Parts: sequence; C-alpha cells; structure tokens
Amino acid sequence: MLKKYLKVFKISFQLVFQYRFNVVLQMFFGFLPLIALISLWHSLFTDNNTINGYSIEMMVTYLIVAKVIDTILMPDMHWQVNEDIKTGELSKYLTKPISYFSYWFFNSLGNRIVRILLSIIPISIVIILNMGYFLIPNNFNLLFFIISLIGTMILYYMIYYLVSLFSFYFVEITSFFFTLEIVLELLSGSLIPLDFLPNALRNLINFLPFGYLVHFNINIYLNRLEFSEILYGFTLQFFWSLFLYVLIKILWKKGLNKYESVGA
Amino acid sequence: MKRYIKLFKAILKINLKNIMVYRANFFLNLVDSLVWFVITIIFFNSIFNILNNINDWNIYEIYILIGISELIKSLIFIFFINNLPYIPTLVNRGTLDYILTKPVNSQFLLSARKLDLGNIGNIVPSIFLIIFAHLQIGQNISVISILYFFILLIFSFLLSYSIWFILMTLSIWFTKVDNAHELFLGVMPLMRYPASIYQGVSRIVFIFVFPIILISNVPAYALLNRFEIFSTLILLVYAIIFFIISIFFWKFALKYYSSAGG
Repeated sequence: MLKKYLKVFKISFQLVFQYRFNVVLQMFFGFLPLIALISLWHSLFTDNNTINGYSIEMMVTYLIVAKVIDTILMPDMHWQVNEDIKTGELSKYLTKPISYFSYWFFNSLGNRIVRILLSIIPISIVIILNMGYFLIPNNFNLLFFIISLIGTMILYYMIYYLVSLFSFYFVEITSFFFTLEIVLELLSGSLIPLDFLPNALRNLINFLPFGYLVHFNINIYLNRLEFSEILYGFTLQFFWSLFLYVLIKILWKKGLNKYESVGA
Repeated sequence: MKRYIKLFKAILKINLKNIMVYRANFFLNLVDSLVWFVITIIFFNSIFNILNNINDWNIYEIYILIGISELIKSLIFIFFINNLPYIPTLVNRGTLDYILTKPVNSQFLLSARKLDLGNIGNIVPSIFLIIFAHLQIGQNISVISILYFFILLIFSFLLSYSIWFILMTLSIWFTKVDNAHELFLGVMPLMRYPASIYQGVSRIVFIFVFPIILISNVPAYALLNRFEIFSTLILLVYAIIFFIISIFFWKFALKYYSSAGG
C-alpha cells in the first residue's frame, strides 16, 4: 500500500527534477552567445589596451554583468498574457480580487528567485573562465548597483506588460515579441556598451527608457558614474516607470472594453 | 535516388499549395529578419567605427560572413525546423509508425516532410547583403569561385543538418524532452564571427568537437578568394563523417523504438 504512494511520490519528484534539469540546460545554452562575444572582444583587445575608454577587464565584466541582468530580470510573462487575452482565459482573472497587473508582477517576482538559483552555476562557470578579467565593484557602488537593479526590474516589467497589452489589438503579436527582444538587446546596451553606438542612435536612446535597463546599471558597477549621475539615473528609472504605468492604465482600460465587447 | 527526388517534388508541391497560409508568415519573417540584419550591422559598424578590422576581416568581409550564416540558417530552417525538433516526441510517444511503414527511407521522410516556406523571407535579405558587400569590396569573382562556394554551401548544409539530427537523436535517451534543440539554436549565433576569434577551449570545442564555426566561415573563404585548405578539408570530412554518424544513430534509435514496444 505504502509502496504505491512512494512510487507516485517518486514519479512526481522525477518530473520536477526533469523539468528543472531542462530549465538548467536551457540556461546553459543561453550563455553560449556570450562566449562568442567575449572571444570577439578578446581578439579585438590583442592590439589595443583600451578601446573607446574600455579596458579588456571592463569589457569582459560589462558583457558578463549584462548577461546576468538579462537572464535574471528580463520578463517572460508577456507570452502568457498574450495567451490569456487570445484564448479568453483572461476573464478568469477579472473576477478575482487581485488585479491582473499585480498578479503577474508578483508571479514574476517569484520567477526571478528561481532564475537566480538556476543561473548560479552557468554564471559561476563563465566568471571562473574569465577569472583574471572579472572586476568586483567597491561596496559603495555595489549598493547603488543593487538599488538600480530594482529599478531595472520594475522598468522591464512595465515595458513588457505594456507591450503584452498590444495583444488586445493585434492577432499576430508573438513574432513582434521576438523582434522586440533583439531590438531591446541593442538599445539597452546588453549587446554592446551604448557609448559605442553611432551618435545619431545615442541621441535617440537618450529620449528612451532602455538605456536604464542595463547600460546605466553596469556603469555604476564599473565606477564610471559620479554620485549625481547615479541619482539622475534613479530619477529617470522612476519617472519612466511611472509614465509607462500611466500608459498601461489607459491601454488596459481601452483594451478591456474591446475585449469585453467581443467576448461577452 | 530518382524515387526520392520524385518524393521530394511531391512534398514541395503539397507545401506550395499551402503557400497562402505562409503568406503572412513570410512577411513577418521578412520584417523580423530585416530588423535582425539592421541590428547586427549596427553592432559591427559600431566596432568598425573605432577599429579598422576584426582579425584581418574588414567590414564588408564581415557582412559576407553574416549573410552566409543567415543564408545557411534559413535554408536549414526551411527544411528542418518543422521536423527535427519533434523527433524525440515522435519516438517517445510511439507515434512513429506511420513514418516507418512508408516504403522510403525513414530518416529522409522524418527530416524533410514538412517544409517551412515562411523562412524564405529570411533568405532575401541574406542574399542582398552578400551581393551588396561583394560590390563594395569590388573584387572580381570567377564563375569557378561561385561554383566552389555553392559546393561548400551544400557541405555546410549537410554538416549542420547532421549535427542537429544527431543532437535530436541523442536527446531521445538523455533528457527525453526535446530541448537539445535549444542547444543547437544556442550555438547558431557563434557562426557569424570569424573563426580566428575563437582561441583555446572554445576553438577546440567549436571547430573540432562541435564544428559549427566552419559552417559559415568556409563558404565565406570561397567568396573572398581566401584559400584555407585545412579548414576546408575539415568541413568536407566532418560533413561526411557526421552524416554517417547520423545514419547510425538513427538506426540505433529505431532499435530502441521497436524494443520499447512501438
């Protein structure tokens, strides 16, 4: 009798393990393009001590920290929101005493913790492989860096939640999600530090929130910002989040009207 | 052989009949691919604004490399993206029978039965970029070089197919879940850089164990009139060896399938 239940327990345990194992593998594979990027910069630095104000140590650290920020903080709930809106699953949430916005916010908060745990191994491997090149910030910068990550998390969430609300209006939005991801990779500075981009593009980025997702944080980490610049960055993270939140409120209200008039 | 050409023509015909279904897909792919090209070109231009070359590759040579990597990626996606990722599921759920009962080679049918013609949208900008970069370089290219390029492209295609197929058959045993596929997609971005940037462990891994880098680099050498006999030989030999291994792996997987009671 007991044996039967033990078996059930074992199977469910294996299922969890299998699932986790898959996620771990996926994390590992996600780090492969980083190896290529680091190799590229290593070969560029063989003839130069500094490139555009960056030393090889700064660049390697930049790329690794950027990858860590994206791995841990980039939201993925937009797929599910899109699914909910398309299939009508959304109605289920509307009757609950918790807002859809906060539901996903807290959901992804939990998700972040899982991702931190899962990405520890691949991150450590990359850092160990680049041991002589990975810089550690001083306490003061580390503190501000961590605060800036909270800002990034909120700002990232606002951007992706806003975009996922487009699902109210467009049927084929999912391929746009992929496109958005590669565009953000460039504009947030996770592909290459923003100071490398052509001037015209940099001027444009100054009017957009994306530079405060990755580039700003790593500049704190690398001790490239004055205290006043850090404060200025925090302020912008805050106001961009607020601005996007207002847009979300408007889009949600309009989208919901459309959704209900179709569904009901 | 004739039978297979006929069969493939039939598959193509069925898929072409569905072309209207792919129309939206085609344009979405085209847009996605254009954005990707713009971003990649901005990335490399940003580097070339400061430096003149990347390991002796100038910017237009890099463009050719990018174009070729995307071309190969689109080609293998057209043929295999709707087929190879589903191999472990087919085997493990025991739904393979209807492929095995057909009087043709099961590996062939399994690999190329559903085409994804939407990916043709990605080919257009790749070819455009290659031609544009070539005109900028201004080097004359002989018919023989172009022919040579296409032969190497076929070997690259064969090698990438074989690697992908081997990974998928391996995953039947290892994780029993189809995410070996993610590994293959994860290494694809490595193709767009010159082989010479990879040093040490990554060089050994990505040239000799998992030869993904040569897939794009070797055909690029042909278009750039660079003669790298060693890497070309590795590509040719590896393509053949990996293809043979893929056949063996598939035979082995089939044994496993029948003994599992399928």
